[in-house]
Amino acid sequence: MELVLPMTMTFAGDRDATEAELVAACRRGDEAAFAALVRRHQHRVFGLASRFFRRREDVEEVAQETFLAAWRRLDTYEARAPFEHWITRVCLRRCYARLDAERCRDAPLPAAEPAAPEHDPAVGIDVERLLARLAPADRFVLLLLDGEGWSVKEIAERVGWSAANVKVRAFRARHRLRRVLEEDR
Amino acid sequence: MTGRRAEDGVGGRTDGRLESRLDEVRRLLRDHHAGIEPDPHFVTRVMARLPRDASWSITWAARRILPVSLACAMVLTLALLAGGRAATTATASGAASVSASAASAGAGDPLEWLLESRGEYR
Repeated sequence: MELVLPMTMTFAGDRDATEAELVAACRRGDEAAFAALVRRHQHRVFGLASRFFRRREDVEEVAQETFLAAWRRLDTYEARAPFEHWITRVCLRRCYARLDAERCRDAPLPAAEPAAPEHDPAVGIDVERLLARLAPADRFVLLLLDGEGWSVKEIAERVGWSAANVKVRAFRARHRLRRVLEEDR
Repeated sequence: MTGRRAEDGVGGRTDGRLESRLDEVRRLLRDHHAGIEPDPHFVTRVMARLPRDASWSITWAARRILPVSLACAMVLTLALLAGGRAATTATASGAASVSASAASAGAGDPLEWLLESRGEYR
């Protein structure tokens, strides 16, 4: 049985309310204000999570976990940067944690999944299989660098790592990708 | 020398091919899974999963109920105080009335003359 709550759950002045007003209302426990925040940022969170996960269920789960974590930890948001940056960071951490958990579980590559648009037969590269052979940290950094097109500085700011750390991880990730491609020939 | 040159050539060709494959991977990564969008009920599902902590609910309820309970307590206290005062007044007035009645009883005893004139009849 599916709950039908927030169809009627609208924050007064949803469209006009500033981010700060919505966040303040959320901190007072206003669920309608939180629903408004979710509506505003759901596409961004989905877009980011879908960089790392192929299956819709995984993307959905990470997106839900991101917003639930945001609701629980909203008191840690200091409003020095836009809310989008903060929610991006929360989402990235959830993605990384899930990638890491998948590695621990040694989840098999879903080879039988239908319609893999990344696999271009003309090029002969199945990027999904390629990524599966990389460590989660390498996959994570490569997808942010080449997938999202972020700079080292942007990754450092949004993930909360130091720039030097991102550089080292990026170097290692590219090196391992090269090795995997060489082995693949 | 010729062998070395030939080896360099093969290596260069190989590296070139690898580089083009790397470029291709980067291009594929840009388009990687970009396109999964939330469905219209996503917000509903998130809201349904919001933790409604029991302790938080109790605190919230207590905050709501607190002014009412304080008001009730004040009214009860005032009522008790007023009742106590009334009882005290009633007790005091009761005692006064008893002594007054005793006094008045002493004054207006119709047989008092018997006690006063006891000696006269001896």
